[in-house]
Amino acid sequence: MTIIESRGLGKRYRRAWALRDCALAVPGGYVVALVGSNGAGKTTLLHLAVGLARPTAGQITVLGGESAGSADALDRISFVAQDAPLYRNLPVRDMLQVARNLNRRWDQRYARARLADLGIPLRQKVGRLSGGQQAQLALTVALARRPGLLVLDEPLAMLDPLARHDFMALLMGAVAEYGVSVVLSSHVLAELERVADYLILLARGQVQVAGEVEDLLARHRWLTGPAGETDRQAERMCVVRARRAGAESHLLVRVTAPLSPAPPGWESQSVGLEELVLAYLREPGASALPGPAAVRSDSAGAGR
Amino acid sequence: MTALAAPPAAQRPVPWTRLAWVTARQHRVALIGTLALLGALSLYLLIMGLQIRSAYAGVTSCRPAGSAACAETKSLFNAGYYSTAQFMCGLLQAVPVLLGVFLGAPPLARELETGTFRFAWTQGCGPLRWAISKLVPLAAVLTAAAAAFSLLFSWYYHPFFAEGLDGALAPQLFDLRGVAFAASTLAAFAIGAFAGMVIRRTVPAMAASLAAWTGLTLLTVLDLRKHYAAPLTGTGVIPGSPWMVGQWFTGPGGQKVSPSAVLQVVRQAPLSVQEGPNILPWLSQHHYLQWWSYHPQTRFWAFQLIEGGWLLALSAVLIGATLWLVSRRVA
Amino acid sequence: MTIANQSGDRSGGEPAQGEGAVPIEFRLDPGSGVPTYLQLVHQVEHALRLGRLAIGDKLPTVKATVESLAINPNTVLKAYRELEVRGLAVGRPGQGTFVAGTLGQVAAADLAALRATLLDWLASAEAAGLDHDAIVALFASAAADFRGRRGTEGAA
Repeated sequence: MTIIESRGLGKRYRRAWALRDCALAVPGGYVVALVGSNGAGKTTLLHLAVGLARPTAGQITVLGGESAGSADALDRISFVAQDAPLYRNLPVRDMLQVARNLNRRWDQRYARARLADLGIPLRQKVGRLSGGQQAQLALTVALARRPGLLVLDEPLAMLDPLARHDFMALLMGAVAEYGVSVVLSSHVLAELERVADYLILLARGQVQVAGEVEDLLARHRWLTGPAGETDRQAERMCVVRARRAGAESHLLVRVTAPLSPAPPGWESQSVGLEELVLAYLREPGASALPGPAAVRSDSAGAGR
Repeated sequence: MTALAAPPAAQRPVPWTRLAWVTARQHRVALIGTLALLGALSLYLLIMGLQIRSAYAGVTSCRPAGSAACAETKSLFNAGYYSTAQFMCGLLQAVPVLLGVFLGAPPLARELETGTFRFAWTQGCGPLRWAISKLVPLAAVLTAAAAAFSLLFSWYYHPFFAEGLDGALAPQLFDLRGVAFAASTLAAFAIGAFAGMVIRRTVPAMAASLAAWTGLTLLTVLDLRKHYAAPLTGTGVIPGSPWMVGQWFTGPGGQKVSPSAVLQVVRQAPLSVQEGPNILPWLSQHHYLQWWSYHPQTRFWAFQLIEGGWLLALSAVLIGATLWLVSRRVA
Repeated sequence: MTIANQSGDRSGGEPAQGEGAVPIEFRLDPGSGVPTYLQLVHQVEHALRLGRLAIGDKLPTVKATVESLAINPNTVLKAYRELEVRGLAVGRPGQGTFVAGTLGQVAAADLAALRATLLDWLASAEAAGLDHDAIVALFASAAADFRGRRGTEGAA
């Protein structure tokens, strides 16, 4: 099922449109990276998905057709906002109890076990934990609700490298164990490269790229060849970005068939994810969006 | 892979008792502080009230009544206990707004200020249920405690009423008794909650609520309340400690005369009269009568119900507006 | 050189492997250009070649691997599927993934011969004027190129 679906979604704050004409159909079962520079609209999109904001235009549904912010959606989606908001003056144990009492579904054993693993003392006040521990606690609380979808807004922003690794390890462990779908946002793609298998690139409030990471990487190539032939190639294939270095041209192209051979005289190389994102960010006019596609068949079998 | 890993949700929503626990836990300090403050004041009123009653028993049982010795006992009673009681009245005027604002503004304002509303509003219970479970229990506890306190205050002040030292409608007393005290406290709470939701910062919301409540109270006491019913008019000394709301003079022809005209007439009186206590009888001999418009004490409960009623309505409107804002996710 | 990327100290000391799994430590080299899943495949193959894994040994669970490396579970699944395709592993539902085949193990004599060749090469490198760091850099770069070529062959 699609975990986030939107049509013509837009949000305006006062006079500026933070998000405009967004069309998304994000399939479930993935770890989705939502990337874009600051101000691109990531937080706005996430807030619309979890019901913290109402659309100005268009509509958004989650978890296969539930209206965003409805009782069922709230029940099955866990959200960790930027800076991992928690009640800082409560001890950890009471923070867990608060979360338990605000929800219909709660796995207390999971929460206690995770906190014990992480070495987070139950009596300690939340505000006295380190930044990494607070992030871990927020994540544990979110996961103990046993959501179908977990949404995280820039969860790694304030964390040092070790804390970042531990946070991701906890998150990926939960994905492996429970199969929860995840949407994470970041303005630093490198943080998410190892974990994301679906990418959404937001630029200036619009979706510029959306698709499975594997698919995106398979369908983009760097072609290097003589500068004189650039225009001819541009006619034949979809060129996302062209750069010229002396007599050589470097073209980032999007191909329809992943294994199509390079044109004669040209060299073809695979593209890294970060390179891909940077190229699209530099070419506002270009986009890579999934066309109307059949629902992706479940190919990752049981056995997680 | 299963897209939805969690077991299916129960059909019933999160129960109110669990939500109430969250409110009690989060605002433990404020609740305890409120009850402690009222408790301390209650203890004082209790102790002083017992002392006052025993002293007053001495006054009423003084024989022979009307003698100089008994008069002196009475004036000692007045000077000692009554002036302290007056002071307490003044002090207690601040209680509704302090409690209401301290309990009403922070629950919402602090969540908005610190960003924890992004946690609270995305939990399974939903923002509206969450907001109701915050405001309603706090309001109920506060109003009940205030109502109980004002009962105790009435008990404490009873001897002074019996002595005729004050009328029930006297402004500083009216606010502390009957249903007005509880309703006024609830209104302060509702103003605080609304301000907290709109202003979204704790201290500014509390300051704005304080200002708004004070303005409303002054408006009520100085202007609104006297219009709850048409005042009666009378001349001379009016018995029964009524609440005087207007005063004027009439001249020999029965028409109203301005204070300056009365002053002119007074200047024509002999000096002994001007400086003595008998100006009013002298004026009335010359057909200058002092008129009063007033409300008798018997109107106490009618006025209490009117004031309590509109304060309750105001509170309901404000709390309703606050909940409506929450449900619109205006943040 | 490969960069160890295991999770740090966790309470209990030893990284969890999943019950009964053989302690093969997966590592990641983020800078190598080789897709993550292939790195895992190569590490299993390497362990097989050196005799550290035998038929029937249980590979680390997806959950344990993912918790120590902080990567997407699908990556591990992909690696294990690739191993199945290569006939080296088999997945048993509910139990885990187990080693099912071997690669030609490197015989001790071959190892000794390779070692001798290496020592000769090191001698020539030193004679040519390379110091220790230069030798290490040259070897690392050649090894990366070699792996990279093999990696893109694998991904295509």
